[in-house]
Amino acid sequence: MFLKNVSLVCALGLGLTAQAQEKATDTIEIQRKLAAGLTPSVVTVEYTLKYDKGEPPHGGLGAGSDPDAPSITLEGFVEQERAIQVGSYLIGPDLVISEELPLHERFIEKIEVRFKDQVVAAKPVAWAMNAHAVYLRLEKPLAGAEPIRFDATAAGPYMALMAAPENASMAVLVTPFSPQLADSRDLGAYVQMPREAVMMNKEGVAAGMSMSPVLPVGQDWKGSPGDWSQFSAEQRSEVLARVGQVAEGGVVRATLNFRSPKKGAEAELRARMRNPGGEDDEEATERHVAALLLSNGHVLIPLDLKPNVTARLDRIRLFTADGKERTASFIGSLKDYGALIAKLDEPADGLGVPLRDGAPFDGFNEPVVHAEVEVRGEERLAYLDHRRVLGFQQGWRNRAYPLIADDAENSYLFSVSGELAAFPLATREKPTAQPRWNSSRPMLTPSVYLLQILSDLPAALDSSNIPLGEDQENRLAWLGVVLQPLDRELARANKVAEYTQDGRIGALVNFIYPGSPAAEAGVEPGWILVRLHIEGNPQPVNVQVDELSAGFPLPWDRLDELPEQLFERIPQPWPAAENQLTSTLTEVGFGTKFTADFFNDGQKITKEFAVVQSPAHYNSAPKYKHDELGATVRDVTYEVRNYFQLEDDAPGVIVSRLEPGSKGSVAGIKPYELVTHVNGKAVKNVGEFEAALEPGELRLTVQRMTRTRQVMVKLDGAAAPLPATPAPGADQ
Amino acid sequence: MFRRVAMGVVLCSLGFVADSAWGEDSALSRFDFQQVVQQSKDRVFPSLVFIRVLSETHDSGKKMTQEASGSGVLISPDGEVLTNWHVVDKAREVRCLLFDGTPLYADIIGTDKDLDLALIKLRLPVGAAALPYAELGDSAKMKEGDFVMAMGAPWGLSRSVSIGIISCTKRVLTEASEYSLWLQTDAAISPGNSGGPLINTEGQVIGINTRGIMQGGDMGFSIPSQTIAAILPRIRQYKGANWAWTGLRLQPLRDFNKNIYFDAKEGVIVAGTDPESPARKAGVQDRDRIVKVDGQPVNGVTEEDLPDVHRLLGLLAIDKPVNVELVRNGQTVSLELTPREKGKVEGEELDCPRWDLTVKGINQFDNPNLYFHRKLGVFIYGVKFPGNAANAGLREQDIVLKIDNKPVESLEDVKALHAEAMANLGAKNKLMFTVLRNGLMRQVILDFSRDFEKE
Repeated sequence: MFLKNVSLVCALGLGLTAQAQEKATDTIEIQRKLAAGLTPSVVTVEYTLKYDKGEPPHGGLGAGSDPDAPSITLEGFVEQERAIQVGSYLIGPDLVISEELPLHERFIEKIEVRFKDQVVAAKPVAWAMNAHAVYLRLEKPLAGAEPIRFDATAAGPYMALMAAPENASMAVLVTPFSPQLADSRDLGAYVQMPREAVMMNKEGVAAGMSMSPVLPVGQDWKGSPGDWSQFSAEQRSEVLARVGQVAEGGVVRATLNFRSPKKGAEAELRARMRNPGGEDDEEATERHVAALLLSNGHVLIPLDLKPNVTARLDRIRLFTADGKERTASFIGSLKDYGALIAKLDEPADGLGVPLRDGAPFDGFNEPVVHAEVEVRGEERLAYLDHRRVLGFQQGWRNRAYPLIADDAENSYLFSVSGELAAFPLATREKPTAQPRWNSSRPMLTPSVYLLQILSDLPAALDSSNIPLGEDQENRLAWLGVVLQPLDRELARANKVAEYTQDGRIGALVNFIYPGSPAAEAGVEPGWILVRLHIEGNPQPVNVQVDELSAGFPLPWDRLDELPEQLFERIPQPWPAAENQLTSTLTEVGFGTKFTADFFNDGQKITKEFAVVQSPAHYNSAPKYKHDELGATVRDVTYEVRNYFQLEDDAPGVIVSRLEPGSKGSVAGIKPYELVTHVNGKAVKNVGEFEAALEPGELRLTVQRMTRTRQVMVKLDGAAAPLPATPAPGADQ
Repeated sequence: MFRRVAMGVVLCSLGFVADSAWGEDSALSRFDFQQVVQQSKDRVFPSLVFIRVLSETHDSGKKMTQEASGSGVLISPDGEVLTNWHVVDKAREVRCLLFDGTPLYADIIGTDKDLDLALIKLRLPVGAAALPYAELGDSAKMKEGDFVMAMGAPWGLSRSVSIGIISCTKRVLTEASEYSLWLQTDAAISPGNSGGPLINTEGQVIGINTRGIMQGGDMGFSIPSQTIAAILPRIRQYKGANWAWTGLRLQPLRDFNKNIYFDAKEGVIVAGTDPESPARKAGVQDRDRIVKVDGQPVNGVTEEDLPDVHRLLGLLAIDKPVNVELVRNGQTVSLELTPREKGKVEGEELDCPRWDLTVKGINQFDNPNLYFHRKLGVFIYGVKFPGNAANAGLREQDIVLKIDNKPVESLEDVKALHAEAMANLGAKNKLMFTVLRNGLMRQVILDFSRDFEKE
């Protein structure tokens, strides 16, 4: 993109120059002659691409190589049996200089050089240090071709001649040479150059050439490219091998293990709808990722884990270059970036990657080592080649991010000396952000930003995004309201169409739990909750809820017809404590202040809140599983209590799970029934339930919505004995 | 109950056939059997009645008159006909066709929804001759294997007879009749047989055919004459069974299906008591074992015994205290319980045209899960599809709390608000319904500007 702009600027310059128009005929004549003079030196380098282990080629195209480059992918070249053609120049009898292709050699089938109807094989022998150029050695000289002769003393003015495909044919383009200077605050002064151009004077003497989009002020373009500072193929291999070792020690596979999530049927359904499996599955119990091991033993693990996922984080292991498996301990989740920091439990001397300290702009236009590292399951794949930093783009908080001709994902940039200059890292997705497909893609983040974080680590960490015990992992924030989604008609009837995008956002407060923040703030049923403004989050949260949170209309009177195999699939009948609102608040973090915009009869009412943790809810309630009974019971939590309209001191535990075929199931107990008494004792929680159990016989009072009954189960490890004598009255 | 059936074996209804040796002369016995069938049929057949009914229903979201047919049997010379409650339920007009081809209108004398029983009376012209009628037999004497015949109008085909045996004398059908067991027969019973008699080989009505299993084939269920005989005087007197209500929920001592066995040989277990019921007021507790009511022993050993217990409780004198003896934690406790009138077991219905919905009053017995949330009031009974209520997202079983912020507590409230809305039609075509769904309040905007009945 950068380069296109340059050539556009050149073209405009040509059109607007009054002098050039006056002497148009003369100029065109000169240009034509110059083009004809260069033609014997112009060759076409053809790269034939291939797949590598089934992977389509990726990377970049040299910008001068093909004008329709944006319309074709690298894969397209393979598909169309077409070579990438790069206009290049003969600078010695068997030496060609050409724009380097930012593409790993594993995707290159062959390199050939075409001159008229001759085609000869070529191979790279060296690269220019300060220009994006490769030197190719021909297998044999090309008959009739003439190398360009350079004379640095040739006097200007100059024309820039570029060999490039034009209208499906290789052509030589000639424009007046008019470099544009940029004096940059951060990069210093540099000249934007025509790329891949030979600069000639009117007499046809080549004074020098440009093979780079920019040229730092002070560097001269004159003279033969053969005299440019170079690195040979051998030197390159040596650097790649050396840096590859650094990368192996510092970009390692981390394996994170999570506890199995504790979910109800309802939450499971919701999770499936949100994310249909895959590697980013929030419910995954093992995840492998490429992590950065730093020299001081810190580890940066680039996973944007939500608090409810981090809560289940159990174990972090690193598989280091020395073949060892090392454990690491969680230190914290970064507030601003989608990553967590851990520290090796035992120091690993000699491993770890050094970070380059310096301005993000350092290394502009220099060759850098590009390591493409990817962790796929337990495999760590790494490919190394060299790239150039093509420029910088602005990103989050106006920070500068280097650009290379490849995806930022999996790309690690090292200086030739082996310091990590930039690595892929995404900013943390704000819980308030509207989901967009590219909202949190990794950017090539300069190491200096990581050094800034590490210099004051505690300030960079989010104290509410941490591993938690199993009893705490489903903790949720709450406002204490039951919400009904608005629609167009409701929004208009409630005079909030203007504030709710005509009912697309906002929710009607239908119920307020006693003792909740909403109750304390004086929120009333019938108000409409539209928006939250959360401290530290740039975007307001438009409140949206779905019908799923309203609870499943369980057919209580037909529960006996339900096949027991379906028990665990019945969603809970009460409104789920977890919904978009409570999830967002939980992610925001406890203690965070926010204001909520309510409307009542068209009037706005603003209420101040701080995010607080809800009392235990159904999915976080303490539970107890009785194996022989085959039933799991949970404490009756606030939303369950409200559903059954139970008094605060009413006894009962709720049956949350029942094994098909178990004694409890045979005795007719169904999910979502209440057990109010065990062996005659009222039980108010699972602790009392467990304490009331006696060996031998369980006598339970079971309540199904409105009706109670008595259930008896013999517990003795064996089948229940049938009564020895028939009861009186039995038919004999 | 079990004892009585066991003793009844002696009085086998086919006893005299048994005397003639079946095995020795099968031709003769076949002839006798044929004769028995014909004789018994002839005794009841003239009293068979074919019934056609025009009834009003609201369950599809609008008032609809529908025509249905069923069967009945004359049980008195002055034109009393036994049939099913579900045949004549919500009937606007009842027409009867007698065996001799005489068509007559009939009036409903009384019904009982729980037993699914109705007594109607033919409007006989003055001075009409006495009608042939069937006599009620004793269903308690029937035993499995006894020959029976079902009479009626299956699929509207009048004057049909089918034959079979008693498959079970003490069938419990859960969710169908709290107060009675059922006679099960394999005599073909199809829709339209409802209300028709099941007769024994002596030509007596031993049951009223009520239910069948569509997929099950040879399974029909009849209300036993024993139950009918006990209730008939009450239907004549009170226009209904006039059950007493105690609010006791009972369960048997032994439940094979659920593998639950209480360590007791008599009495019946209190599963629970209904809120604000006489039983709860009397102090009856869950897990109590009732052994005597009003001095009579009660035994609910298996679930087959429970209908008898329920009937005993249902037939207690209303508003008159009775003594209940029960065992609680091994101690005998005596309580005084005053049954109340059970009253209506179903709410009234109301059609709301243009809104395209029907509403019904909440009834404790018909809609316990709605009653749990709201003791008085109205719920949406039917939503017409397509229609305005359906489009607005109103659903069946939504309890109506408010319409346009005006509280709704009765069908009259809805009627008045509906009339007002219809009067303002054109000026105001939207109303906000506040409903209780699944225990949670919701708002729904009903836009009834469109006329779905337009042709």
